[in-house]
Amino acid sequence: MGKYIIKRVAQAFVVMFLVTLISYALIQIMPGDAAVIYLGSDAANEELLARTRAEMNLDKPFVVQWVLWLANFVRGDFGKSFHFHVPVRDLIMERLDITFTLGFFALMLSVVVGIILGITAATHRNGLWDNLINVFANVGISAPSFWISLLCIYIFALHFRILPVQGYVPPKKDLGEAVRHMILPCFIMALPSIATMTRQTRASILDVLNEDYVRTARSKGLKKNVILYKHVLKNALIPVLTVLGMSIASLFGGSVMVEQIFNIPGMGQLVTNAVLNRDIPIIQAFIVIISLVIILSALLVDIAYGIVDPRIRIAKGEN
Amino acid sequence: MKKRNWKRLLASALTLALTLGSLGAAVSVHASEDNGEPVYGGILNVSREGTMGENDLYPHLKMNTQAYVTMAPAIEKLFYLNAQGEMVPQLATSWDVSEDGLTYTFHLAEGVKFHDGSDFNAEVAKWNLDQAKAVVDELGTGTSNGAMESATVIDDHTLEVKFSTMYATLFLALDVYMASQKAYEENGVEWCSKNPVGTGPFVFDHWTLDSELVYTKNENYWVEGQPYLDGITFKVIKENSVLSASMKSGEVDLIHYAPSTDLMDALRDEPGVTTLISEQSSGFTEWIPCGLETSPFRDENVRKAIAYGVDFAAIVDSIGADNVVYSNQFAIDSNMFYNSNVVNYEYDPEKAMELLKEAGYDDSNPLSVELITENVPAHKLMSEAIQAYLLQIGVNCEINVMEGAAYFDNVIVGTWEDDWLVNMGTGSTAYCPLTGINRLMGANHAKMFPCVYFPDEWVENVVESAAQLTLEEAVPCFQKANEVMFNDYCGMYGIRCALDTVFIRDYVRNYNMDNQIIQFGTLWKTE
Repeated sequence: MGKYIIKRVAQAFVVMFLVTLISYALIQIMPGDAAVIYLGSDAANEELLARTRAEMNLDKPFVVQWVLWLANFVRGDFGKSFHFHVPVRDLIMERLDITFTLGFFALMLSVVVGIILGITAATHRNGLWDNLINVFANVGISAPSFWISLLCIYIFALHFRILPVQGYVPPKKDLGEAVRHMILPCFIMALPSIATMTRQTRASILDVLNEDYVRTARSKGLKKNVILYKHVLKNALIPVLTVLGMSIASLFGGSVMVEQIFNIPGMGQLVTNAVLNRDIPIIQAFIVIISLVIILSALLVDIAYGIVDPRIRIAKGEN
Repeated sequence: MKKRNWKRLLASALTLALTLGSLGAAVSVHASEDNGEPVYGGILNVSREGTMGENDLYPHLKMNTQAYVTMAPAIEKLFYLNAQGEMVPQLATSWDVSEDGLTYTFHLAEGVKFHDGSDFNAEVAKWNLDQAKAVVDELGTGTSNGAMESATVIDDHTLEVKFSTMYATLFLALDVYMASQKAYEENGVEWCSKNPVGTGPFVFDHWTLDSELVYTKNENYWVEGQPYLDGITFKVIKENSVLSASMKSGEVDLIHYAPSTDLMDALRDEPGVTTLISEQSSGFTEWIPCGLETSPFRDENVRKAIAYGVDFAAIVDSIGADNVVYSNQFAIDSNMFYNSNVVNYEYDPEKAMELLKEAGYDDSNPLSVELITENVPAHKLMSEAIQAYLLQIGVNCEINVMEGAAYFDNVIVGTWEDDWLVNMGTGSTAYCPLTGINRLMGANHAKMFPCVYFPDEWVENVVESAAQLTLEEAVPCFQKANEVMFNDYCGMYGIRCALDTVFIRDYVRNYNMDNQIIQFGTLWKTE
């Protein structure tokens, strides 16, 4: 197991290394001079422009620029925002916990609701509940999130006036208001994951239900619920772990749109505006941080696989 | 006799009731006119179309009209300007102007303190004027501000300001925000740009960049009884659909800048929301052809062919809302700078094709044009319409939509391609289009707009117009400049004039559209 974890961690390091290289290359790839973008109208001052280029290390060879940038990045210095003219670290720290809070609750929602709906659909196969849940899952996967968002805003905020249209309230400030403001964004963020989780859980349970050991358990006269929750679910949830890993990535991707629509000052909104403003330091930091989160979650899922199902660990070890 | 008196009395009462009734109706339409008893309390939630939060809130960094609104709750001026360009007292209670118009003596309000406890006096006022002048001198984007010769402290509450040269817009040099000198000296410019410290009715609380800016009530405000509100919160809501929904739900009480048609469509008939539209234009967007020597647009026939071949008036009318009007010059017809001698190039595709032929372009050798615009919905729509018109007269046309930073990089400071026809904005003040044109032509022109060509006669007239003693005297030269640019040279097209638009909930009272900057201290909410 230890060898397996070390191997996975080493792979994660290599991936992160490449991510930093590619994200730094952005500054070279994107059109326009980074120093001109940073200075705006002050770029007309050639002396200032040259000084800024030197301060940003743009006058050095690419590899030197990258190494210096990486060294600063590791120390927590992500550079200064071209647009806001404040340290990127400050901007990110203000917003990271908002996105993580939303992402965490959306993830919890998708796991709990997805698994419950998946079990319900599988145990009522081809029945009314199964069909209803299937329709819900199909809508969740196929309907564009921005459309669902606007629909929910219209129904819950404008028509019934029970939830706010937009905004974010920190839980420390007012817990009740924080919950009200989080309901719609969390639901919208979680919806595609709920749908995927539901379908995966349903399919896995139905697969396991056809296994010989389940038939044996039935023939031994074990109760239906005992078979389902003690024997079937444990084995059926292994593929769900894969979906969970992927959900973390899609939740952060989804936060970009949801934060924009619901006007939540999180990382998603920050990076959307950074892309529009060509605010390269923010984009670079976002790419690296999100890659780190996704690589870490994939690593944890891989490790969890090894713990939950020893066959995986052994097979990988043999390979 | 008695019966007749009763009838007269009844008729008079009825007339009075009808008159009052009609007045009442007018009041309900314009929230700004309702001056009932002020109500204390409540937070005013303010937003605007697009962004407001990334601007620096230290007034002497750069000229930035967006930031001026967001710093207004905290930072005041010696006076503020109304829609007619008249000076209304604020931190200066009165002033005297010398006969030659070159010396202003301000009498300042007494007992005024900044939010950091320091005193507002003539010394601080002088410091602020000097700071503003230094920025303008460095940027070279103004004319009147640079003309300030000296500011002299006469006593603690009297300040004398002298100018070297007369300009029609001289008073703009004095239209300066008064920030705390102490805060600047103790914390530096970077801190001040994110922490506005002034004498205003509201005290800066916190600012989450690009999200919200919060002010709380100044309990020690120098104007007795004000402010009425407990605080002001500026919310950055970039999606117009969400912004209009927030206005409908009451999460936003005031949208102070709303040029887009979709907001107008969504909110115009919304119960409980009043729409206020200014009668003057505070900004123009126009199409400017590349002015480089090598550009085909340097040929007069080509410029005029575009003018005849595209029905700009029809395009602006069809894609604009109530808050957008077309003009054939830098002024709208209700403005004193408007010149009725400037004629429209009536839409005539046949004539356009003839002119193109004279310029050497036909089917075998078609003219190619690239329309450059920022990623703004109305501008993109306009580009598509222009493209359709140009294709009809045999001009190959492509649209190139740029995001804000790329647009700045390529259009404002970059070198244009010869075939570029660029959509550009010219800011202005409602009372005087000259202010915006002055900025376009500032000393930085060569660096900021290197590819825009201004005919000499136009420049001469604009400069002469700016050098007049009063706005009225500046009118003839400015009108002549418009004639030169739009009639003779035909160097700009399709001017889309934005009329300031405000959406306001009916329970917000005492809003005055007449003021150039919102006076937050005088507003209150009845709900």
